[in-house]
Amino acid sequence: MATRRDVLKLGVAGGSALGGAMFFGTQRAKAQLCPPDGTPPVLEVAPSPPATPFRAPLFVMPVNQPVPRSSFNPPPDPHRHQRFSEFPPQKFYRMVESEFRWVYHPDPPYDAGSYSWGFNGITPGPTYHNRYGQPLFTRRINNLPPVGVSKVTWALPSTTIHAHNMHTASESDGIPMDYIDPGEFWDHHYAMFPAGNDPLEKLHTLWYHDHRQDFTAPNVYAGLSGFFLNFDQQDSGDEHDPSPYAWNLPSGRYDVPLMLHDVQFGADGQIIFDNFLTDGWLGDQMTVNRRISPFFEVEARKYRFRLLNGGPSRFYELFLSTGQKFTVLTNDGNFYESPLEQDSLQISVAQRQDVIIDFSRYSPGDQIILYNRLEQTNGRGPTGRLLDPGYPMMRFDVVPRTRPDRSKVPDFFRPQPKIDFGEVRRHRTWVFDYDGGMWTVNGKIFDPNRIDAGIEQGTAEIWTIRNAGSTWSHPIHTHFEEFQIFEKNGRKIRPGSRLDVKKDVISLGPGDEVKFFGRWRDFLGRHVMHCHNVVHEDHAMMIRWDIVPPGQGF
Amino acid sequence: MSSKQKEERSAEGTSQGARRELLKGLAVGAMALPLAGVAKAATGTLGQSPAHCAPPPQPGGRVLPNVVVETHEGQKALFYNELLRGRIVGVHFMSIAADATYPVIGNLAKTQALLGDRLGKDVFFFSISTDPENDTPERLKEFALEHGINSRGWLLLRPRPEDVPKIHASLFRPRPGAHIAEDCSPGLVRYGNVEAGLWGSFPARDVPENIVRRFSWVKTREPFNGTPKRRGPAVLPPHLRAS
Repeated sequence: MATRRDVLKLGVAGGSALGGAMFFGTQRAKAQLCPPDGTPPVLEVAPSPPATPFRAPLFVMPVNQPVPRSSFNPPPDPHRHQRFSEFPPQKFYRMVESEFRWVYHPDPPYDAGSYSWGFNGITPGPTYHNRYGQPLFTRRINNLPPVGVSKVTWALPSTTIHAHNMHTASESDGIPMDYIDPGEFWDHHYAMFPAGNDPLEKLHTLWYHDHRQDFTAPNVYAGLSGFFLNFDQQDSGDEHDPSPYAWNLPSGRYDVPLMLHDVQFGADGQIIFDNFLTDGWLGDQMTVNRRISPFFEVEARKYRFRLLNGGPSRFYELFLSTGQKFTVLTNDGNFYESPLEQDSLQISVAQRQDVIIDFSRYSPGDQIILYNRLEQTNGRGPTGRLLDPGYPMMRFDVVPRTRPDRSKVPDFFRPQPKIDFGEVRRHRTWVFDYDGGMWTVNGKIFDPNRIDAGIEQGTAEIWTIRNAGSTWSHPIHTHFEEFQIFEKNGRKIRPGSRLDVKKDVISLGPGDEVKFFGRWRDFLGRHVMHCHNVVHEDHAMMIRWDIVPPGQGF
Repeated sequence: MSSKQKEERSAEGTSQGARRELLKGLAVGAMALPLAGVAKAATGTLGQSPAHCAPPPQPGGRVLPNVVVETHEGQKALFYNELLRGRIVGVHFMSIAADATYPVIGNLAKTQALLGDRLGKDVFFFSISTDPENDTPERLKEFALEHGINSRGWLLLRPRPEDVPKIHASLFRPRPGAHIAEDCSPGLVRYGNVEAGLWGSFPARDVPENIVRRFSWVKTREPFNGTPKRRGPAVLPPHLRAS
């Protein structure tokens, strides 16, 4: 039987299509049950200045370069990190957060640069190349101008950098509470072993981004994001690797991370953000690696592209203009058992897909456009309609091959870890909803001091994730370990389908319910689960869960 | 640009009529306004060219309107110039009737207690009624007394009915067709540094300790010089340190 709340929600759904005034006019007493305020007509009212598509060259971020251990003063302190001595760092990095003008496009007014935040002077920040078995250490220093001085007035120069979804201890995870203000630093230790030391738990394409409580959306949008890539002896990062274990996927300059952000600009070329929108934030300029609709010269050979939706709120469905299929390797950084052939890529915020595009079928001079065809008119989620042709994200311009393409795409990568329901210690249900203008989980708003789940270390649990909303979507992300979805909307996941893979983000459409199996191992401490429409996250759609010693769960 | 044009541009939302009404109100009220600093701000505002009062940009290019509001203490003030300008504030929309079905004032009153002297000095709360027909200054005063609201740092405001949407639009993006009386966000408080144009939101029903912490986050600070200091992580307790 439909509850009154359900009826109200249906009313909202109808109202948005047929004229909301009538609905709102009759439900005064239950005002808190109508959804949070906000529709973003910004895109239509004041569009960004035009920028010639495919005029800006793609920015390919440099690989992050290590620094000597001796360059740290004070030196890394083993007493501040779980299992530090067991996994002593072999590589050391220093990442300095600062403000600078970033040129999103060579056309005026963009050519003067837009005030941005980034790492070591660039956005996206340098790309980490890590290797399983080689622990690493990063000191992150906040050198941003403080409030009142920063030219980026809509973001908070206080940061906590989360490596999404590194298997790392709480104190190195970059949770919303572990922030640093200008003039402060935080040390992060990444032990570089897969969860449970199970090689099947390895994951490869990750990213790092700010996670500051209340301000993640503006801080990431300002530029605080970058790639965090893990390699091993199979995904070895060398297409010429003679090792019998190596997959020889395209590597080096043929392995290109692509971070998608939609950004809104003012007439002066400066970035616009509206902190007063709680539905989500959309921009009308599509950027790839922080350049507006760039072009990229590709040789007539295979490439590996690592696509990431950097948010804040837009969902993408990507197509190639030639109708060529994508050969999909991974989902959220996890290899499928076998590559999938797909016409399109559906990527919600924070999701990643590694794909192979083979340009050898084209001739030099050919141009292939990557389109996002998914329509989205407000921050709540996509309409589900496909546009034709859609938004041009970037263009690939084919040039002759400079040398033979020795890279390969194996037919088989690795199986998924076994789901063993015998290990399950607890079932939990998390319902994503709204209340009084804030976004809620199980009717509650985020409280960093309230532990919503005490999970026993070394156990497995089944979590049911439900979207109580009928008109909005939520990409739900939980930290620390990947999980395996075994059921969606009452149906089992089909072997070999898109969801038959480990994941760390669930794209939860209106009314969706997903069940997953997860394990929590190796460390103790505080972590979070939240909506990765980061505007929803900033408006309290987050829970804290802790890993606790065996026998102390709740 | 003529001085009249300047005035119109800088003090958006302040019609000549509103200014006259304000001056009338201030004739008896200015020095008696209970907020520390308001009297000074009022004097400054009225004594100088309005061009000097051009508000700093707020999120989404909004302008905080300079409309006249009545306080629960029965005084009149300009919403931007005399209440918000240059301050760290918490601002939200409420009505006495709505608080009966979705109570938030009681929790904010607990926050007031935690803030102590800081409220009225470093931080100011403004509760804006969306029901000005019923929420008269007298009723708001009574309501404030019931909740122990200290008007030194927290004012309940009654705008003119036609100004409610103006103020609301400066802090929200209303749904097309929705009337302000159906405000959808009674559980949300905007907090911000008005001079810097930096704003966040907190849940009105959050734990008071969590709410209080936020006001220092958005404070204007001096640029940092010197060697960066370690903020964390903290030294772990022995049971977590062992591998």
